[in-house]
Amino acid sequence: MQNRIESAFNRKQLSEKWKAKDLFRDIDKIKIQLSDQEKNQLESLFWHSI
Amino acid sequence: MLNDFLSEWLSDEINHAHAFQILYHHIYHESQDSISQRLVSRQTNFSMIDEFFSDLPSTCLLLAYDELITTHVYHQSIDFYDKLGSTMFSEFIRRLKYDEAKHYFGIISIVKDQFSGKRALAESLLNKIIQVDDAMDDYYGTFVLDHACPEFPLSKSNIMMLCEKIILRKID
Repeated sequence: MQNRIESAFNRKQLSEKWKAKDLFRDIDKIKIQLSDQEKNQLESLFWHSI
Repeated sequence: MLNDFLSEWLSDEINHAHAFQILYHHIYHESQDSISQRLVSRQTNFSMIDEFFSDLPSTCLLLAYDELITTHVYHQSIDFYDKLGSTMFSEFIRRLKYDEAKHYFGIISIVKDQFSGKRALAESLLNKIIQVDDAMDDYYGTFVLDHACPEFPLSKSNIMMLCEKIILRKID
């Protein structure tokens, strides 16, 4: 699975400039299912990432 | 050379912060204004890392260390993002990792010039940086050394090995 994703992203040429608002243009169409533990993990990572 | 690097680095990091903010808003349903306000009102404290800003080579070494560790942290986060249910998130984490690795390669070439023939000095400074990073009990909004969270995936010995293999060998 991960190898398939990796090769797909290689083709997308990760070196191209990107913008957050473009990448997440359709984020509202996606429902993320997270456990409470995953939510806590992501929250902690978020506040340490910026 | 340094100015070009810093200009691109800053632009990328602002983009990353914006992306995390969009993602956070989507998951936690907190408005982006409220998130921005919380970020602005966050207490910052640079006292633990002040010494690394006293000269340019030390600051560049600090940045190289930070970009290297962040690249590895993002690499280890790939599985988590792949499970979020959309290739959008898989792309996001890979783009973050790519950008951080690019920053590392950009700054290490500057570090290499600045520490040419001064490996012992670089090693001593790097050990201090690792010690400070390890001793951080929380994150104080310093942007660098933002690793004091329970999920941080690298041990001190992993970090020392990485620094030896990836940073110091470049300076030899």
